[in-house]
Amino acid sequence: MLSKVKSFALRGLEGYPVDIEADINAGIPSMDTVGLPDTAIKEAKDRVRSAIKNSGLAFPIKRITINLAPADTKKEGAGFDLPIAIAILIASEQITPDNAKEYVFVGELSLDGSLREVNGIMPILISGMQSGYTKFIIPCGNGNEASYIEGIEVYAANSLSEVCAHLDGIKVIEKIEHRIYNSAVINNKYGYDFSEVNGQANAKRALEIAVSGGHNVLMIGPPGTGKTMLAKCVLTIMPDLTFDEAVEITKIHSIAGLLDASKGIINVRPFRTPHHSATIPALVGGDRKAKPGEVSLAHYGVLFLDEVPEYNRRALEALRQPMEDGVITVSRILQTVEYPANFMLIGSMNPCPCGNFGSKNNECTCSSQQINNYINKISGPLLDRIDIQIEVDNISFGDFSKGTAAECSADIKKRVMQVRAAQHTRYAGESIYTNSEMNNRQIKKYCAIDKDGEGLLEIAFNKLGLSARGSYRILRVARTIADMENSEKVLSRHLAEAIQYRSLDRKYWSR
Amino acid sequence: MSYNGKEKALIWLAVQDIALAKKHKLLALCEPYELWRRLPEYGAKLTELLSEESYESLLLTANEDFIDKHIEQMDKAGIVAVTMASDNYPELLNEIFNPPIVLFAKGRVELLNSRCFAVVGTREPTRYGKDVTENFTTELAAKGFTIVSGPARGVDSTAHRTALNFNKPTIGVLGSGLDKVYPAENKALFLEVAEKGLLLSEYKLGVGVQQYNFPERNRIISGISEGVLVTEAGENSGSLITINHAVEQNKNIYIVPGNIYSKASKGANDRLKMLQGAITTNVNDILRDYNMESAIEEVSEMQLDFVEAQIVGALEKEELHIEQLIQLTGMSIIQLSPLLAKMELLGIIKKLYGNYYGI
Repeated sequence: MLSKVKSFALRGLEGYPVDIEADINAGIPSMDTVGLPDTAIKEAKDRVRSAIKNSGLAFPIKRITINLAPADTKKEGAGFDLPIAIAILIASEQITPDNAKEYVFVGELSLDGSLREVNGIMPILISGMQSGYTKFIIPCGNGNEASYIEGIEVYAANSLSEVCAHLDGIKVIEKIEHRIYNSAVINNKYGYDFSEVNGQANAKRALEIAVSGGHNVLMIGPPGTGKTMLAKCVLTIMPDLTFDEAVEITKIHSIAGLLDASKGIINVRPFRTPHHSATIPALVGGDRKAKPGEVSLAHYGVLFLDEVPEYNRRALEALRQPMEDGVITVSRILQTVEYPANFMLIGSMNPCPCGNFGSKNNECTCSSQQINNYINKISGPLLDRIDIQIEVDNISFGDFSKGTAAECSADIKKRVMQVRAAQHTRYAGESIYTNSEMNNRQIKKYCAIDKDGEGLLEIAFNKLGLSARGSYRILRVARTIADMENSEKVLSRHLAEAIQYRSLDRKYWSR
Repeated sequence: MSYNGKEKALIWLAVQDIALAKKHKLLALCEPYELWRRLPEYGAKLTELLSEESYESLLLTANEDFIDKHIEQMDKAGIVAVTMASDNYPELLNEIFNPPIVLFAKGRVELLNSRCFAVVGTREPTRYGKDVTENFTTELAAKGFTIVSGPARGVDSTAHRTALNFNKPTIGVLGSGLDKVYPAENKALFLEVAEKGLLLSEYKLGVGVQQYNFPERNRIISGISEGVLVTEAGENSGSLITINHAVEQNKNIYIVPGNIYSKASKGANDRLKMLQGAITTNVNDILRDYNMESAIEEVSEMQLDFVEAQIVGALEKEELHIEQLIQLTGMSIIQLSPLLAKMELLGIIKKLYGNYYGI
């Protein structure tokens, strides 16, 4: 007899329906799977056979053919175990076919018949819902992840026998209760706070500007000056995630298999710190299965590159395109996938290999060639995409740091949210959200400067040897600084400060 | 470019692979033009001086074709030869020992006859050395001196760069042919010096970078200059050799003392012990010897408001960290940051490395 069961497969973040067909005929007992299965699916027959037997059901001793349609796309993963088992059980008339038609099945089977969680449930459910499916049966372990999606009925089962009982109406599984997303306004959920950072007033100021306008940051300073701490604190002043943002982050992490099953959804912004030995595929995505890379895992969060010059130069250059476009296209032999990659880049580096270049007290022991090689790992075009460059040092002047208590992250965050809101209003209908995304036309429209400002820009042009592109970068940051003061116009003092954040490349890169 | 017979003869001699001292001995024997034209007649005399190989190569090249080809090659590269017999050969160079027979020049050749001043130093300057170089060079250039250096890393580059930034003339003396760029990262500087100033070398095109050429080159740096300023020099710095040349050539020598603990200043400080008259702590020390005086500082002409004056006043005493400035002015970083940025852009204060500010 022939049976047909629905399941879903993923292509990047998008799911597409897959029909699992099982046909049981008389013949030499065997089980063949067709429809471009990968090794995990081919091995399903052994898992399915044992799972069916150990659930107290009979595995048909006949010739079984399984087809995964559409037949021309490559399918992968163990998520088809459950639908294959159900298809076989229907075809061998052990469960009634009528109920099963309404459901989409996803899940991996254990030999004892229990269901194991799979990666990518969130994107599968969302795609399924969009293509009009309403009922899903998934493993229990994915229950939390599924509970945040509204508008569908999801049943989380522990084992194959539970699923069978449910389909036959013997013992119905409770459908998962919908949970309301809560951005989790817990104070200090990140474990860091700007109030714990002594001094560093200028670095904090620069980071606040960066977060307010969505700008990338490069911090230069000797080792042990708290660059990593500052970077981690950046998360604490970023706006809370909206539901849509949280879902998008969760989708990516779900596919990558990095989701914490007990939480189900990611409600804090990701902070990714790939080691400097990271390869290009690790950073931008790739490998055989076109997996998301660090740039996508840092989506809506922070990608922190500690010791930027230590990274592979080509890997760094590969960051340029996603930094510009906010998406990354990963092409592999079998598929081309697009992942979102809208991250804030924070880089940190020493001024030279020994760390003492330009220091007031310590002498640098590097040769100028060493310094050049080190510094030039960061190419001009990459540097051009980093709007804010600051120097960080750990010099504290005792009584001062005692005198005024440092501001806590929550207060800074409130200001950031206001500035972000102002940008949202301004760019309604422009399809951008922050100042850093403005294109040249938008800069001309929104960053008009007065005579004073023009004079200042002119001086900067000559003194810093700015390019036209560099001056657009300055205008973007100046716009953010003006927004922070609630000023409609970009005034010369805003420009002056913005120029300052671009003066380091002149200082370090063309000594 | 056309050259007269005597000049051609000197160019011919200059491009030979013979030690300079021997070339001068040849010139002492007879007129260069005579030598070039009637080389075989001198045969016996020359073989005493030269190896057989050298003599043969002289014989082979002593013809119009060879020299015309060479001149054509120079013309193509935009290079002019200034020979000892040329009108524009720098007068001061005639006075030194073993002067270059020919100077190959690219750029504004007229600078050879301007008043020159050498600014040299270590290839790895500290912040102090760089600041001193910038300040002294600015003043010297403003007073009309052409800044002479060898476009190496460090102090030399800074000297050239400072002059160029103020659109003042500068001469870079190379230790290789004019078609070679060393160090490679200074390519842009080389191009700019050749365009707005002058690149100079006594080596023919194609001569690569050789360590032993640099000391020889240093005698030209000091030779064409009225004085030599060393802003910072380590123990083995090449600029110490320039000082030696300057002593031999009886030039004015100025050395800026450095931190006694700093490696980058060890050579300069050691030399100061021997040449105590050379100590220079202010650009006026130099200018006075030439009957000049430093320009009045521009800063005081600017209108400063209270806070700005307060900052300038404090920075004049010492370099301050931004946190100290916050403390000093009582302003928040939000107010102070744009103010400092503006003052820096207007050239009132300087942002140093590591969030320090200075004048």
